[in-house]
Amino acid sequence: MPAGDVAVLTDHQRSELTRLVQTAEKLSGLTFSVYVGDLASGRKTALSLHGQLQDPAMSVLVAVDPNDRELHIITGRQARVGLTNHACSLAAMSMTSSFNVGDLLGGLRDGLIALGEQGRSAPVLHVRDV
Amino acid sequence: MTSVFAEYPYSTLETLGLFLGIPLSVALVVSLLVLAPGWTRNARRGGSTTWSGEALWIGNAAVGERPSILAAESEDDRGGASARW
Repeated sequence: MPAGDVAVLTDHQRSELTRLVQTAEKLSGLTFSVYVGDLASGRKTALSLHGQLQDPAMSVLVAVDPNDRELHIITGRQARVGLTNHACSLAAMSMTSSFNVGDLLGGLRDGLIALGEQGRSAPVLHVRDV
Repeated sequence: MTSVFAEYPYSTLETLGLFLGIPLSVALVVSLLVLAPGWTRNARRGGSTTWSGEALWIGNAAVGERPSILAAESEDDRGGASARW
């Protein structure tokens, strides 16, 4: 694809991503959202978008700006208990390696699978009370 | 005494073609084979990073600005990671 063309996801690719989001949600019990588009102020914009989700505390937002080549993963207050910043960093590395070769769908796919699996093992905080 | 070149069947032009033309052609083909994948890779990379500008949401989309009383979650409460490529 020559430079200057517009990269968009086909309906089939969007359906695949929707399925992956649902799979990640089933695996982790968290709510996942993927945003692809302009992030004018970088992470600040991503935080603002995350704050506008229905249940921010339990939500994970994967925000990608393909034009500025930026990726932000935002986890809510409760979501970050199961999905640590370290796990998010690993997922981000995996995603950017695909984005770097122009594979937007592949990067999102890898990231969602990694985040869903990492978020699965939420620690039981009241284990000593049992 | 006859020259060693007396019975050489090729002209000067043919000799140059044989010893310079063919090696240079082979070198050119090999160079193209080595460099061509890089050119196509750069073209793919450049094209795919251009987005239409229309925001795309997969999963639960943002519902809009929330009243400040509901937006109790501060930046410190949240985690995650950022990266560039």
